[in-house]
Amino acid sequence: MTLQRRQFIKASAMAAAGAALAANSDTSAKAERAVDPTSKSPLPAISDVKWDKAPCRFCGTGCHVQVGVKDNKVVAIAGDRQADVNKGLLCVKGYHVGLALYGKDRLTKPLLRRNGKLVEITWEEAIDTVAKRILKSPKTFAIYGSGQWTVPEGYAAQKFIKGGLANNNIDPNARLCMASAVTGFIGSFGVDEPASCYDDLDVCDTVITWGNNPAEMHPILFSRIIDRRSRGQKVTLIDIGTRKTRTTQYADHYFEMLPQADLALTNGIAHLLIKNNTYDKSFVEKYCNFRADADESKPSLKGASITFERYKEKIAPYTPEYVSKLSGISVEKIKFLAELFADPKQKIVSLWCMGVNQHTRGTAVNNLIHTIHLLSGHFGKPGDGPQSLTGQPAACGTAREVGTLAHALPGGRLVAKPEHRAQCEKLWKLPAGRLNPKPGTHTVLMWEKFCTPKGAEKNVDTIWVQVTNPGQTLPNAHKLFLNKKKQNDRFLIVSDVYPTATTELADLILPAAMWVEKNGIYGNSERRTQQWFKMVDPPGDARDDCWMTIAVAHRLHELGHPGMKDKDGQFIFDYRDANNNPLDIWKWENYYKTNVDRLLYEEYRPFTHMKHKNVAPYDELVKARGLRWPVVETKPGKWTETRWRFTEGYDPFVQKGKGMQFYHSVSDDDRALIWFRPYTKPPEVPDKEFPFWLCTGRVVEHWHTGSMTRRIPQLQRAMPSAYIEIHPDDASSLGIANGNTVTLETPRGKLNLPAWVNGRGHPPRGSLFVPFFDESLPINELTLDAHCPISKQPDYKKCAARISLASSEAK
Amino acid sequence: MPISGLVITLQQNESGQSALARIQSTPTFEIGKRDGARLAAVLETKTPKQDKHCWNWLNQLPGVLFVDVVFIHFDEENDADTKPNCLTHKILNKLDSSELHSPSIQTNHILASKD
Ligand code: SF4
Repeated sequence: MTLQRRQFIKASAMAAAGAALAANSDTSAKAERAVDPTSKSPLPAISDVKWDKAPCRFCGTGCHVQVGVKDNKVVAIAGDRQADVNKGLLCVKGYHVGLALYGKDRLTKPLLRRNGKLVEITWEEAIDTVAKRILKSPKTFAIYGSGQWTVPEGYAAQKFIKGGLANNNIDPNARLCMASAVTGFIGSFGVDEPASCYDDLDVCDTVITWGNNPAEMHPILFSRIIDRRSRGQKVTLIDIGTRKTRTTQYADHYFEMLPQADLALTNGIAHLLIKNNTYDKSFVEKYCNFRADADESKPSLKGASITFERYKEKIAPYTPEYVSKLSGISVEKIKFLAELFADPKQKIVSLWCMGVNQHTRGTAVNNLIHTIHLLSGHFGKPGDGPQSLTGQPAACGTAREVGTLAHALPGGRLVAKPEHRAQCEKLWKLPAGRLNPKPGTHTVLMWEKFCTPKGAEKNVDTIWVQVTNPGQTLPNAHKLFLNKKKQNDRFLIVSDVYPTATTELADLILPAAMWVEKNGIYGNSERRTQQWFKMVDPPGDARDDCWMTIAVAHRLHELGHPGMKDKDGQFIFDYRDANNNPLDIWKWENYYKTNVDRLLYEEYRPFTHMKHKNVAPYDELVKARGLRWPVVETKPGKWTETRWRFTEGYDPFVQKGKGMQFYHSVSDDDRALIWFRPYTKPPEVPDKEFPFWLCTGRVVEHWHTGSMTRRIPQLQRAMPSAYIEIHPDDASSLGIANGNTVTLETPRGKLNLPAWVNGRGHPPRGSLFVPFFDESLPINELTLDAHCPISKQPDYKKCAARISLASSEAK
Repeated sequence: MPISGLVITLQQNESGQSALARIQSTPTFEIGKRDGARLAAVLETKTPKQDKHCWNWLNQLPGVLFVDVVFIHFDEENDADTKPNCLTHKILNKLDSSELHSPSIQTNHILASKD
């Protein structure tokens, strides 16, 4: 690089930093500021570098970046100042996101396993192989997708399998991270996804993190809180968890609880609000009903209606003393929390993510967090409400909204409901009765069937994995993934960008384009739908996942599968130009001659209206840094997003004079549900043989399984391998020193890991923590596949384990 | 040769003042505008390794509350020195998988993290 060019880039970097400083200099203005999507942002004018917007590829925060491209290569990343989510800032992962494209071992050719070896084949052979395998047995085929699917990718995949093959065996990896949030929202409000938004963080008085570590997992959201503090504003942070984390370092209060005790603590807060008569009577009388399961041993999504009196009886045993015994949190601290919720002047935001969702009672804890907000009236006002966070960039936008779960159809519809199937058949122009009313297999069941020997259980023998890495993320991986090795008749298709633990067992690998190598649309944790355009070419023969799905569907059409035709005999992905000429988008050479994302998204958009999740037109998304649904046309050509759902004055679907209207209420009367869900014991608890609790999770440097971030030199160097966090007293009593290799065992497996004592996180005595990003130290071979009976989401946060100094360390 | 634009949030006390002085006296940093507790800066290093070192140093410097990155330029970066420590990578690339579970790699990581 010449000195002159270097000076110029330095000046650009300084200008960007100075501009970010200016853009964030007035917090109160910032809180109220709406992004002007049409204004021109001053981007560094580096010669030959062309800039365009895209959401970050990694977490569900949904920051926007500006991507600098030169000579068909991403060469620079800047925080997008026009983006309301991050206001020009990025975290350590976000600012390295461009390098995720350029790992040396990108998959560039389709690879088929022949005699145990992967050999290169052509795309024609690959597509033909997939189509013929499906044609042989369409009912035993399944798709395992992702919260990293773009909206059009997820939409195409579920239209193909549900609408084309009349088979509901499709589930996204969101089942492993968000399913309990979905059932929590549906159980409490009758409809999925948060009512609140990130703006709350700019105006709240208190943030409570429930088993959540946003300082590492959602750093840019967390920086909004820290930023306010640095300006002298008071924001109280209360961290409730089972292990001290980086978030705890910033907390005013840390309440350490025993695993599973969130069920007790939330009921304990509700108990005190009722007992002390400090709940918000007016809010509850106007806007809430009460609910519990008729049979508590059989938890259900919607339960049965109960009276306030019955609710009081049920909550009565959850005295501070009883809750203290169950949770390990002192009576004073429980009372402190109840008093906080009792204070109507406080504005309280609850944040949660995997700690609550990856839980055998995940639906219940979600319902209970909503319950204490509803009971205390801390709901639906700026700065005051519960906000569930997602880990993936389109867990909301694709996995949840598009209907990729095994029981769902687009726009909040269900396969089991005849009227929902009929609506989809009409919108897809399918013959009546095409859609299958039986929900497909959820994730754990899908993989269990796939890995089970032939017999009664066999009804999944081919899985196509798209945009995810179940070989590393499925719990109890020996049972749910590695057993595939023993089943010779199973066929695993994996489309991905890098080799992973999943491609290791794949029979067919399809090289995929990623992020700005393709057009895309994501949807973040606050209902914000975000669009970007392709900016660079993928390497080698890598292609879009969406194209792969359409190409396989078309090959099946050619092979005569009747489901690939609509009721008029046309191919189900038949799209036409303005002159009614076929676009033939299944041919790769045609795929980017038209904007397939726009075609699929605009076909999908009407599906979103039934549940009032109206997403914005594609062309509005092009102009914006994401728009939060429901997005409605308030004046001709003017599309307005919604910050607070169900609240009059913000949500366009709330009728005038209603104040608050839960218009998809389970009880059909515009009211939300206050739930009683009892405390129950965890499915596996430490005993003499396995005396420790084991919790798993993430680290700031790596995103999920590390398949992208471990190819980024800076991030990989910062955190090269997994480790086991141990309390110093436990370590010393077992003769373990920092860096020693420790053997970790659970009833399901064994792993050697280096010990980290007094490391980044601090588990209490009797507790261990291992991150899951490291493919070479696959912790999910040890985790538990027990799952929530309602959401079917497994619990990765607590199981029984034991540790010892590895034999290699013995003196 | 990485170049990053940073916004550094300093504590508003003596510790923040001394952090500012140390950053100012470090040649890899160029200091820009200041707005209350927040400071615009550019970090320019010769190698990604040095970049990471400076980043860690800054994050751990007493008086520094938060570091946000708003710009990064990396068109001359080379990832050849980072081989993902993963089985499939090694299998596909015919690398020696014995180093995968080498305690020395892991121990180094722990020690490095404690620096
Ligand atoms: S917080 Fe998440 S979305 Fe934002 S830059 Fe970091 S990884 Fe990307």
